[in-house]
Amino acid sequence: MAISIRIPASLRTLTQAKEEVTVDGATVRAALADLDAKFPGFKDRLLDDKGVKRFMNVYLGDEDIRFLDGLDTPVKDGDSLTIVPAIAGGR
Amino acid sequence: MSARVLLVGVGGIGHPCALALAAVPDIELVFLDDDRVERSNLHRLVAFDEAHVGAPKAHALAEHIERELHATRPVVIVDRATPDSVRAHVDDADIVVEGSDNFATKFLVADACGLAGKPSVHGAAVGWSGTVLSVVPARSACYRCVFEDLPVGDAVDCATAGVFAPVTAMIGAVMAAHVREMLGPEPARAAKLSHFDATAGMFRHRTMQRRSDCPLCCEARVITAIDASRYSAPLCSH
Repeated sequence: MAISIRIPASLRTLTQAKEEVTVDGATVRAALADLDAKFPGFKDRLLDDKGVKRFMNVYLGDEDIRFLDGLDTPVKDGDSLTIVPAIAGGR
Repeated sequence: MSARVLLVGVGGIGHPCALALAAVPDIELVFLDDDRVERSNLHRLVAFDEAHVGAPKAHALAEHIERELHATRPVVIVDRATPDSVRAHVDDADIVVEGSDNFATKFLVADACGLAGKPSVHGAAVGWSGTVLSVVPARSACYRCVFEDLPVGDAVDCATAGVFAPVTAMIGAVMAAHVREMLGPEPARAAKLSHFDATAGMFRHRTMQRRSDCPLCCEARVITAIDASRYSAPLCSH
């Protein structure tokens, strides 16, 4: 089950500058676990004990997974996840 | 009657946004910023040159708009948004454009806009990417619906990731476009999250849903006044 994940520019140090990576998994949780297995560090950056960190957003297509089933949202072959963190800057 | 547009921060993001809005009819611009021009800013503050180094950004930009663009001189307030002052500034505005460089100010201004029922446009740029979130109170997701609360620990800001100057220009331009849309017949159309990725040359726009448990805009909201203890985060040093 190939799921693409769009990596924000600020987290590409974890993916050797890759903008998009492909992972496996039947749910968002499994896809993110595979992302962390392939590119260690994502789990700590994205998740805490309550789920997705409060200043991070994960989208399945154009839908925020908070409004789906959160980390348990099912994904299927060809789906695309996007990570959008809160950022501050531009002084 | 002109719309009073308050720009909180006229640095890398607010600067291009202000230039784009300067000639728009029926807008009165108000700049709220106490920062001064630094040499390291010049590559992204395109209206300035070496002679402006050390000058207050808000005054220098207002002068440029009046002298070079022959537009109405913006109102300048050399100050920053603080828990004590933010409501007065926001209450006087019709639309708030927030281009500050730190999370504390972003959440402070977002909360003040939510409490005052003022439309707002929030922009940020770090490294090769940026976001614009436009909010129409009671009709769209607010800043806290999307980002919930101040980051703790490892959030990204321009102090840690730097900022690529063209990204600030893109974000400022999109913010100005959202302001124009908010002044039009269908302001709610402006309410969206736009995410720009310079490495892919790609903008993606999403319409955001309101969170039923949002602390700022849901029926059972817990934020009912500005409380200074909610806003503490380091300032960006770049």
